Amino acid sequence: MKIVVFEVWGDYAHFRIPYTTSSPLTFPIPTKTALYGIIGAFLGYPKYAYLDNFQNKSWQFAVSLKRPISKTYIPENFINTKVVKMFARMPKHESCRTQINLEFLKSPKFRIYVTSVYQEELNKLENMLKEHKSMYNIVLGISECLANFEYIGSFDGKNYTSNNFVEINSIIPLDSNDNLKLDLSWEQKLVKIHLPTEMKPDRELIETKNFILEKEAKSIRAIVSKYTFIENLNENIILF
Amino acid sequence: MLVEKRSELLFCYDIADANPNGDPMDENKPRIDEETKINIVTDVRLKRTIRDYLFEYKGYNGQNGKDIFVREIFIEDSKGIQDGKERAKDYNNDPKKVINECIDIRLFGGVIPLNKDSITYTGPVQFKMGRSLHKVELKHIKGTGAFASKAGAKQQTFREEYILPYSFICFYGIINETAAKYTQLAEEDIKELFEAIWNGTKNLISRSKIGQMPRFLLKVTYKEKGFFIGDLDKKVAISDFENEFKIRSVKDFKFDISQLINVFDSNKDKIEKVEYLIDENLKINGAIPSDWVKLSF
Repeated sequence: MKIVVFEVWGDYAHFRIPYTTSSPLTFPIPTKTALYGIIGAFLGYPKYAYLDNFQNKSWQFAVSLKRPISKTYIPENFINTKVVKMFARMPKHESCRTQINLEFLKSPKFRIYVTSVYQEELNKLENMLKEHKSMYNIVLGISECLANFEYIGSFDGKNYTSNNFVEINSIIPLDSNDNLKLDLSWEQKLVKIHLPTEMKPDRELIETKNFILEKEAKSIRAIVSKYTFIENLNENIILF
Repeated sequence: MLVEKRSELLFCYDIADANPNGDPMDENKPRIDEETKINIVTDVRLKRTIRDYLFEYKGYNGQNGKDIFVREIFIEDSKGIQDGKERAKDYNNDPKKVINECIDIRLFGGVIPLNKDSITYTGPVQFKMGRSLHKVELKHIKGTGAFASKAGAKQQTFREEYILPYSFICFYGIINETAAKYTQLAEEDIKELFEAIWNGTKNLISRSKIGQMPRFLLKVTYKEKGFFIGDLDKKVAISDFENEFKIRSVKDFKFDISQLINVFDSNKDKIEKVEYLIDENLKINGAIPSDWVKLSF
């Protein structure tokens, strides 16, 4: 199985937790749906149709943190659309703005592992990464979180099962790993999060998953039913 | 002509004894990253500066088919000026008309509400948050206001504010040719944008922003479709200063562009042109390459 690996980073990131509207909070990592957007930006899939290319789990990812999770708040003046016509025309002497406290990830950096049943598109992605190109701007969640990236390489991944503890370098999806055992004697700060994973072309959410991640960007020692080993990187990852 | 090539931009300006961008939820204090003491200015502050300049000085005021979409409507004497309701009718729910008239939608994108629906345009021009290239100090100033807090009160009210003695701020942005197609962004719009960044920053004469001066503006345009260098703001720095908290003017340091020149040099074959504008008071560490072209407007 061919796996394309790259790293992406920025000053800030905001992957909005959808039910936090007036005080938007961010997920600690890009969701699978956000990764669809990033891959779509590389390949030039337009906004109104990009999700068509990511149906039926045709693309799979693993994500690992390259920097510890750190968050900050940047409050901004938003337009209060209840008062303002056309979301844009602000009559004077009326309170047209609303103060919104935005939560951002600070100096985030992630390693992204990508594989797809669409080999041609995967090769295209590989070339874009190699040549440091993208069709649309690469951002971490929202447009002001402009990102930069680096191609790490394309590797062969081999699937393994094991009954022993192994060090997993990526975040661990819980649902596909019912036999998951964590080594709690190992020094690590583990967090369980619930993330959206699959969307229909009309953005209807159809699947979510629970994940385990390590806050300090260290590997996780665990027994998992199935993982993928990338020999050249000496890394164990779990694709989802 | 529509924008067909990717470009990146850098913009540096400075401010003394004032507040480049207040935090609306923290007593309007200048925004400071508490861990690093770096001053932050939001991308929307810069976009506001650009919009206001285009509105005030470049005729994008709703007449002659030139307009700014996101703006405050002035309601005075009803002379040629409409309220929000009137304004909304202007575009007949026609997004094409909005795009044709409103330069800010062409540049920065936006949400255009239609009947029970809306159209979202992603802006071809995007900025990151601006950051000071040095640590800053927050100063609290207290004074007596000229007015009393209410009629009949004997004493004048106190006022207080927070300022930065100095901040040299750097913005980074990308102009994306793929997104430019959707908003019909033209090369002429980009010209207006660069003029508005430079002159708008200078012309922003409000109490909290007075003394803002543009110091350095750079645009690098690429030949190859899709290619860009990225992180240009991390390739400039300030040098030759004594203590960064003691910097009070552009005379107290040098602006170091040597890394930027190096990265342009190693990507020579992919770069079509580099354009720049520099304030004469800014001292540069390293010489401006002879093939850089001076911007003029």
